[in-house]
Amino acid sequence: MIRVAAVGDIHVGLDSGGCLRPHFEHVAERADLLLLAGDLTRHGDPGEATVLADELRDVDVPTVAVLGNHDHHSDAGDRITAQLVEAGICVLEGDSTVVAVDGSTVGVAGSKGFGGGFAGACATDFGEPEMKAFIGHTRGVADRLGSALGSLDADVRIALLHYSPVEDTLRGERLEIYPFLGSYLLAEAIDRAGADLVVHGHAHGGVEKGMTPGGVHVRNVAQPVIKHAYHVYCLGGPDGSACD
Amino acid sequence: MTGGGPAEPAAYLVERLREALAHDPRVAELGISVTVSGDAVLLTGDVATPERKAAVTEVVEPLLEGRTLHNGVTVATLAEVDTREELA
Repeated sequence: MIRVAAVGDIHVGLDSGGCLRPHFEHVAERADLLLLAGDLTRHGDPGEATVLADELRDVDVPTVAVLGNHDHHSDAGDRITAQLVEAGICVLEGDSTVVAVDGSTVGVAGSKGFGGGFAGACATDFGEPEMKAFIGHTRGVADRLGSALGSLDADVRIALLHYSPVEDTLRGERLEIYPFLGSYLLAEAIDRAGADLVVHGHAHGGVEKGMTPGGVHVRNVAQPVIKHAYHVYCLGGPDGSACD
Repeated sequence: MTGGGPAEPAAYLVERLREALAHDPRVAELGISVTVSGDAVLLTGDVATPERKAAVTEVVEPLLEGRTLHNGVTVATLAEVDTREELA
């Protein structure tokens, strides 16, 4: 049994010191690893990433993160990634990591993801270069996520995203902004590769639970949705055991 | 609005305020909903701290051109983690 704690959209600012640390210091009592689903800072300022790293310093389980759109706003995504890596956090973008948990292995493939919309109403890479670039970016991150997930050799496999792969978890958001909240291309890549769980954030006005068209559990862990420091999901290990 | 001319159409004001809330570093929020009804402007959504809610007012008020602000933004509180979900 593997216990996965997950949260996204914590939006740490320069004024956030001390706000999250008390909630995270006991995470090891409840979970075996912590997933951070992007929008970890307010506007991608490296100073905010310094505060974030300090807030997470007492987390004593493996921590895996992806960045979100806010983390790219100051064009310092690479620097923020480096800061988090230096703090011991694994930051994924089109790649994966495997964590050993109590005799089992859990593999996490991660990507920010991107938008474009959902089947039947998805933007198409047709026309202006800007439109081709928009959907081209989504196709690229989805392809890399699928490859990373497909190459994982682990008892449990998780896809970690910021943008949503499905409409299910967007219910409550305005329909007009769905194309900016996620893309079915992410779900298609995940379903082809196979996974046990997908975790994402970004949709503050959405709902927690959904499923890909291929039947993979999807959880929107944006903090305004789950209203907790994190939620914990239990996944069976190689023997299929559930939570204790 | 200047010179006693017609008020800015509500749709344009809504987007001007949303842009300000997204780009002003005191707020940097994309998820605050703006509704203009007559002379009233209602803001809803969640922020993490009372200071950020106050910053929302600071950013928006200079742009209202005489309209009345109702800052209905909620300061989110985090509940203690006490449950977990089993996924088959």
